[in-house]
Order: sequence, then C-alpha cells, then structure tokens
Amino acid sequence: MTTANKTGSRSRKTKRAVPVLAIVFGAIAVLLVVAIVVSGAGDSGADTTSAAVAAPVITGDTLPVLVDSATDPAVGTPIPEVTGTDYDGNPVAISRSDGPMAIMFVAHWCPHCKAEVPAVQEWLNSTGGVPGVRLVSVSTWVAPDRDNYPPWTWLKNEGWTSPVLADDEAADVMAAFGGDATPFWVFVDADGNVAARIAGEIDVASLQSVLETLVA
Amino acid sequence: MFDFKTMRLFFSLLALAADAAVVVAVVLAIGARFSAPLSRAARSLRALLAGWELPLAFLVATVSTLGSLYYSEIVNLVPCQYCWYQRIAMYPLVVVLGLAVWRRDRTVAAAAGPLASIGMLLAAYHYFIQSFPQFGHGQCSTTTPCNAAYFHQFGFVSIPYQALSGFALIVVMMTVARLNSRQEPAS
Repeated sequence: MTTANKTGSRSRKTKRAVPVLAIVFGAIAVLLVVAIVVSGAGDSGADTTSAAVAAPVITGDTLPVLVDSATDPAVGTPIPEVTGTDYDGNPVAISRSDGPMAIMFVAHWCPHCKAEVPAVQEWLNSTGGVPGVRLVSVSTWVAPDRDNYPPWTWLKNEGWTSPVLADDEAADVMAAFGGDATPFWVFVDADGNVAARIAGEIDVASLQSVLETLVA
Repeated sequence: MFDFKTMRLFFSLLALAADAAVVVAVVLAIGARFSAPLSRAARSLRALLAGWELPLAFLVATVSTLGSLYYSEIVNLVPCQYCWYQRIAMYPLVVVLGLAVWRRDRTVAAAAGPLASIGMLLAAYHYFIQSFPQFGHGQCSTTTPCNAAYFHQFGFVSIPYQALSGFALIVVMMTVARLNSRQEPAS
C-alpha cells in the first residue's frame, strides 16, 4: 500500500470543482421521481383477479405428493373430483367419469409452462389431439406480483382452447393431485384412476404416446 | 407511493443508468487505444472520478443490498439459489468498500474487484438461464426456481439483471480506482 494510494484521493477531492456526489444523488432522486410519476400514471386500478375469488370444490382422497413418476404410488388410485370455474365464471369440472383424460397444471410465471402451453396448443391445432381423450388444464400458483400475470391473458394470447379450471389462492387443487412442480401432468384412465403423473416439460411426441395408451 | 410497482421500476431505472455508465466506460477504454479525442475523454473522465471511485462503488453496493433486502424482506419475494450466491458477493462489498471509503484506501480495489467480478459472472449466468429456461431445470417447484423471473420490467430487466448492472458498475469503479492509483505520483 503506497502513501499515494491512501492520501492522493483526498487532496484531489478538495480541489475539484465538479460536485460528483451531488450529481449522482441528484440523478438518483430524478429517477425516483420518474418511477413514482410513471408507476402512478400507469396505475389504472387493481387488476381484478378472478383467482382471488375462485373457489373450486374438491371431493375424494388427496393424492400423495409426486416424488418419482417411475414408482408413483398414486397410479391405479382414483383421482379427486373437482368442480369449479374458469376465469370467465364458466363451470369446469374434473370428474372420474370424464376419463380417459389428461390434466395439465400450469403456472403463469413458470418458464417451462410458458414453453409447454404453445407447444401443446400447436400440437392440438395440427392433430386435434387424441380422439377419446379429454384435455383439461388447471391454472395454479397464481401470483399477481410475478411475471406474466394474469394467467387468463396469457392463456388467451396463446390461443389456449382447452378448458381452464382456476385454482384457488391456496392452490388446493394442485395439492389435491399431489403436484409440487409445474408443468404437472396427471393422466387418468377410463375408470377415473391415475394412469401416470409427470412433473416437468414433456415433448408433444411423448405426450401423444402417453395419451394413446389411455385409449389403447 | 413506494409500492412494489414503483420500486421495481426505480431499481430498473437505476440498473439502466448503471448500464449506460458501464457502456461509456467500455467505449472509452477501447476507443482510447485508437482515437486521440477518445483518449483525452477517457483521461478527463478518470481525472473527474479520481477520489470518487470508492464512494461511488460503495453507493452502488449499498443501493444494491438495500434493493435486495427490499425484495425479500418487504415484498417477500423468496430468493432463489443463485440470488443467494449473488448476495454472498454483494453484501460484503458494503462493508469492504465502506471501510475503504472511511480509511481512504484505494488498495481495497484489489479485493473488491474480484469479488464484484465473481458476482457479475453469477448474475450473468442467472440472467442467462432466466432468458433461456431450457438450460435450467425442466420444471418449476414451489421453492423458487432460479430460471423463473419474478418480473421483467420493460420486458427484459429482472432482478439478476439489476444485480448484473450493479456488479458491472462496481467492477468499472474498481478498475478506475486501480488505474488512478498507478498514475498518482508517490509522495
């Protein structure tokens, strides 16, 4: 450590005419004012969150949390049944009698869901899906402070055509199906029992083959 | 007035201001090798900053730390694994740079520079996997996944982006501090 290193800065500072620190603090203050003005001007009132009032009714036994798809103890057990609504208030139900069926849980802020939804929709548009297998989605883990909110706008922009059941704030539907990660798929056989559960992105070719096994 | 929407915009504007300063510094550093006017401009800017490098770096580290604490303690955004790594790099800088300012000791740049550089690399990687989530884990869990952004202000400014901007500006300030230390005559 040299003497110049320790003391040179002070001697220069006293001679300087440019008030560096004042300019910096002034700039910070200006940016703060800009942030207050802009965020206030753009605030057109709270976005009405349908999720806040969504109240799906769940019956039946809760599935265990998925740990490993290969050794899933939920396979062969009946799924919980859910009656609820989509974000427009239209009734949406998940019933054992609807099988075979694929249930896709998505979160609006999840980057993998943001990749999966358009891929699945494109596959649906091009193939029409697998005949005899119903596809229903559940919008869960809704968080107004997180990215890509609100989910209803996101799904609408993606041209999502499958029914969307709105989970409640506590994500009770997700919990009832044992989901701990998104995207989360629950495949249901014709008897209303779990055929498989998968967490994470799956490509459409794999999705199609799984769905085909449900009607084989 | 100081709600989440306002504060994340404020921190994003600060990040962009830091970016602008870093870009100017990099352009001058490179341009000074090829252009006499840019070389003069670089010398002038270094002279202007002489003595202010450490206080400015301390200010950046302090604001970054307060911003990080605002997000986790006021807004309750749970830090992910890479957020914690960046905190490990940023928080000590407040103490290290604060002591350096107090003691007027520019030699601290030798320690603070590498620490800020490590933080910058971590933030850059974190921002990368947020931008390209296919390179991260293939799913999002309830425990905060590193590749899911809480927000994208202006469509691209996320929390690790803000951290990256702060680290980069500290690195620039430490570099200027070292250059100015070398050029000062020994007394």
